[in-house]
Amino acid sequence: MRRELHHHASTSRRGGVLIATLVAVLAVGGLSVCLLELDSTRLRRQVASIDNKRAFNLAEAGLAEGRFAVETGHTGTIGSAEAPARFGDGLFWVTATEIAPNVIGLESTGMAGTGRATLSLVVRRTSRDVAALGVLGSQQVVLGKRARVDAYDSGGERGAPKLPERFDPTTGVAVELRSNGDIELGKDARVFGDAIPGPEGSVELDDDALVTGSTAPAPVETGLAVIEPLQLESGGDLVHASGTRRVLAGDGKAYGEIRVGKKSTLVLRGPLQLSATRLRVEDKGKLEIDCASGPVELHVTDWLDLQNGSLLAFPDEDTRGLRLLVSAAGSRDRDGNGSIDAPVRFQASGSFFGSLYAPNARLALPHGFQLHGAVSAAILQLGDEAQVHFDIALRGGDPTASVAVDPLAWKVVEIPREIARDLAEDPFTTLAVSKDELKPPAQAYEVAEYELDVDYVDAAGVERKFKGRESEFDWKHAKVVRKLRRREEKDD
Amino acid sequence: MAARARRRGGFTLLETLIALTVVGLVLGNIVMVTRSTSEAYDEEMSKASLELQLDQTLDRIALALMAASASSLQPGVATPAFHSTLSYAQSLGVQDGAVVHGAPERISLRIENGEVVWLERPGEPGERMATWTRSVREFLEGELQNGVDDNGNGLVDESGLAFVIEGPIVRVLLTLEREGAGDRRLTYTRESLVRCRNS
Repeated sequence: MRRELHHHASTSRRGGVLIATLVAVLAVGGLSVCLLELDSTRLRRQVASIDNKRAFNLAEAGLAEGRFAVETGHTGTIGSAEAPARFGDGLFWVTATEIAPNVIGLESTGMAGTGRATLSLVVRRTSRDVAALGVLGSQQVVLGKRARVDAYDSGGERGAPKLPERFDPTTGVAVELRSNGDIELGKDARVFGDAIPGPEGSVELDDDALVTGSTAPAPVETGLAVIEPLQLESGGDLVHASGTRRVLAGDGKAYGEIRVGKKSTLVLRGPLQLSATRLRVEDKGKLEIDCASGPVELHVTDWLDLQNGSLLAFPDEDTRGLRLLVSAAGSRDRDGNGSIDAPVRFQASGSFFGSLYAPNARLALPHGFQLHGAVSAAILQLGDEAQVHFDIALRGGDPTASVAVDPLAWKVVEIPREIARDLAEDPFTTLAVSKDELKPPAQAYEVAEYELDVDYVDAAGVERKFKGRESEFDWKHAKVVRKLRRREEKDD
Repeated sequence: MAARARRRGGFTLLETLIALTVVGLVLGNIVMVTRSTSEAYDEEMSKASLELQLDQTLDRIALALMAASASSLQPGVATPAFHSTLSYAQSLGVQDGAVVHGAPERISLRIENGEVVWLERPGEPGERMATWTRSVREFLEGELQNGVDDNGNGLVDESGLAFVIEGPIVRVLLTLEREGAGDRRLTYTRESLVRCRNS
């Protein structure tokens, strides 16, 4: 009996310990689960924060890629939600929409982990061709007495315009005279079209001055084109002062100084590309542009000096015939005579046909001078009775010129709540796409079937050309696009 | 046999005392370990929470300023060297060739409450306000009100939220401070450079 009692008591004690141990284990276990849960919640929040940042960066990368796509002549669309571009551990796609002529809206969505971000960028596409800028004084435009700025349409034909004495705004072609600063019109000056000052600028009219169109300021400043230097063989100095006629044709050279002396004529015969550190045409010297067989492109890097009494001649009267690009800047004593010389002295007589671009200099056209084509300068000044006739046939710019893409507006796009709620652990699962089947960004550009004609520089710095179907061209080889022409293929 | 069975039926006073002492020691150790672990955990949680709060606030400020137009920043000059309030307008897009801006917005430090607040249409009918964070320090970490650059960041007596405008780039500095576990003060500071994406 005692033995049984003892056995019973012993059994009871062992059970008590078991229960107490179980309670303790459960308590500790419960506490651990709570702590783990708290910790994992904190970790999830941190990971989500990191994923959101990565997604944001991917969306930014998408916008940059979209901009580059527009710059290289593509639509700007890269991939889609169904087939996005793979980038690192995440993905992105860009949707481009043309919201106005040459104004493109890019919407880029990036996804990484559980993060998703959408950004929007509106860009404006402008041709890098200087003629596309029209008539521009980037800092200021000043028109002297009875000066005139108008436009005409050569239709690609040669010959000076037959200008009506009285401009009919209902039938005439309107010019856009632009500045990023102020526009001043002297007495009786005329602008047949719009005079568009900069965002902070204004138009000032003297007595009886007239602007037939709008004088409202531009919403944003007009960007200037970059002058890309020509890669030419050096030709030393060219001094032609023998009183004869000399013709430059064929392969262009990079000259130090080109000087045309008195009673001497220098003919630049196209097709021709040449550059000069200084171009000086002296009194009674003549510079003739012969573009019957092709255009002439002339770069002047330090000093354009067309002296009083010098003559410019354009027998073909073709506005597409000459591109005169002057990168010269800053006033200093250029000829060593002790007086300060401006980078551009334009005192020639005659007419000018073509595009004249001097983005860093003041360009003052002399009294009564006539310019046909396009002209841009830092300060554009028309002397009394000088006239600029913009040829709207140049408005589209050189179709082979590359384009600049300027950002206008950037913003974050809110993600709809239902999309944000349904994000999985990784974007490939969310979008139900296979990571291995996705293309990298450069191969995910929207490919429209175009006939492509492109001059480009490859990764090794070699100038190359491609002509053919766009789908056959691998854009990843093009590091810099020099010229681009794209035509939509037509089905026969 | 009977004597041995009686001895097994209970514990002596000495045995009980030893057992109680051992149990007390073990329990005491458990309590101490649990408490210190709990305090450490609380402190880590407080730190992590404060850091997260700081990061999230800076991210919000950065996103707002990225979408702002650089020309709309008010005050737009770097005099004095820092500001504790910044007004701006965000770019909404382009319509008819012109950039469209949103309503004026402002990010401001309310020192009396230690709050960073965001306001839309400040001072106008329909004003909206949201508190983006609390626990903002009166002065940036390491800074005292003594006319000297104590923390060597190039700013003198800067507040707990400071904006420094350098063209289209805004330098944002923020310090949060809060009581942590064991009455210790937790202080964290972050600095971020934000470029306004719109001109």
